[in-house]
Amino acid sequence: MENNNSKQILFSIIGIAILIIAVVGVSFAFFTYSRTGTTNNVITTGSIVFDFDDPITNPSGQIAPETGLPESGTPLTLTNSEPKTDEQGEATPDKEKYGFGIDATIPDSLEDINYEVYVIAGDVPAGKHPAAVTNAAGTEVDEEPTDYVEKDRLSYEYIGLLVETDSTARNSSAESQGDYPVTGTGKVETRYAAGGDHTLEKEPGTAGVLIASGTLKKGEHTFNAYKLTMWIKDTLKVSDTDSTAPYRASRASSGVTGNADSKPVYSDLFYSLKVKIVAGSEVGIGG
Amino acid sequence: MNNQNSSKQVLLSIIGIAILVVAVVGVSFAFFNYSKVGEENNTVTTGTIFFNFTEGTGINLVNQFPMGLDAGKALKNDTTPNSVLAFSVVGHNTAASPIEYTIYALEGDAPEDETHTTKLSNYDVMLYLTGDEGATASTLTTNNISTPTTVGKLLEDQSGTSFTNTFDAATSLKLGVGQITGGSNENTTHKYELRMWISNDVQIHGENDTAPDAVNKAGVYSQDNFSKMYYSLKLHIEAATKAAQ
Repeated sequence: MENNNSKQILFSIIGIAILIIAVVGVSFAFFTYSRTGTTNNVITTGSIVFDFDDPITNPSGQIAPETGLPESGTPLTLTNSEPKTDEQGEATPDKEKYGFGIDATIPDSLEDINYEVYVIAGDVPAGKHPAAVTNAAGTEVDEEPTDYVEKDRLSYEYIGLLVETDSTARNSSAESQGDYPVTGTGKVETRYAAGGDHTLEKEPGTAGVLIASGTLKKGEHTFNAYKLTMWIKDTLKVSDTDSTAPYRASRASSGVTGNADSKPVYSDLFYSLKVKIVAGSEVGIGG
Repeated sequence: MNNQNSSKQVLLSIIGIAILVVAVVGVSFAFFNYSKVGEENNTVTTGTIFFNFTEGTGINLVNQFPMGLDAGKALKNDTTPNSVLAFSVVGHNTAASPIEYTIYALEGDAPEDETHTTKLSNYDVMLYLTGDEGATASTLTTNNISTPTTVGKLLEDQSGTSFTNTFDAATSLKLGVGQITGGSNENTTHKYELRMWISNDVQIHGENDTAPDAVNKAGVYSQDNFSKMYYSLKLHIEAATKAAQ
């Protein structure tokens, strides 16, 4: 009796196995192939060098005696400035100008790269000036100030700018290659080089004002140097009595009340800018 | 008298034994014989089935920078040497069932130069696989790689995040599937071309510049870091034929 049961179980297992093979067995692969290719497909990147040297050597290209290398440049710092004519501004000596440069090596595998040079608003300088004292009606009154506020930004329309290329400038990387001054064959343009509209953007922080542009040719090492100067234009008028003047000379607390109401005081003003370089395949020249 | 009786007994004994032998053994003696070999051979012969994967010269693009879609798709070995990997699969399949194959990508070896030591992100590299008519019909429409796609996006579509230099059906990057139809006594060849390039979404900025926001998960690299990068992959083919039902 037990034998019969064992046989029944065995036959059941065999039957089920046969059924499974009959149904599923079609998915058994009788031919397989597996191979990994022997070829490495490789991309390696190229080297692009694009440096904005800010500032570079003094535009006059002096060599520091102690090192034999170009002297470091410094940003423009004009204090106690007075308005100048454009002719006077453009005649600023080179050593008083701010130098900067584009130092780039563009590989052959790329297309030419265009760049544009903008000036944008700079930071507010340190230091504060006395705040105006006003009465309940908001009118400035002749009282000693009790509060101090940041300096006021001079309106862009009174700033003159001059941007020139500087063929005498040198930079340390070019120096180290024994290959300076380096010049590319790309196109170089400056703006506001003489005369014209020496104005800046009205609102700080926007794209800025285009002052120069150029092209860096592929396969070339280019060092394009610029020198920049700025001045307060002589169209700016300061008066405590002329109501058309945008600025006054004295605050109410100094006892001058003739035209003092709410206009900025000339000595409380500043202007600052920075240079911004934009480069890339989407940057167009002369836009 | 006694001798005669003895002789008869011996004779009878011999006959009896003979009869017994005949009775016992003699039934196997056929009294009618027929023998003939049939003319029909009932034969099993094996079919022809083989499959092979061959590669041309691999992609070796140096001094690369981000490239647009149109330029990437237009890469040609004639104008840009070693920019396209041509490969093919050849099958000969007389069996009823097709040979089904899958094309995978595995991580390739790093270049041997000492400069390019950092691997680009999977989102930095575009892949574009095209095939001839036979290949396209069965393979590329399934996996949609006929539209240039980053490796990272392909992995995402396969619910993966990375792949290694060792084949694993679950994690290796699947580029396409195809089949060599059965029942044919001729070779069938599917030809493919693989292009890869650095995505135009990759951004390179000056050393002192603020890094811009990433686009489509592509890398943002300083010009110095970018100059030290590479990407490498190999192909892997898996093929099988299933038994007919």
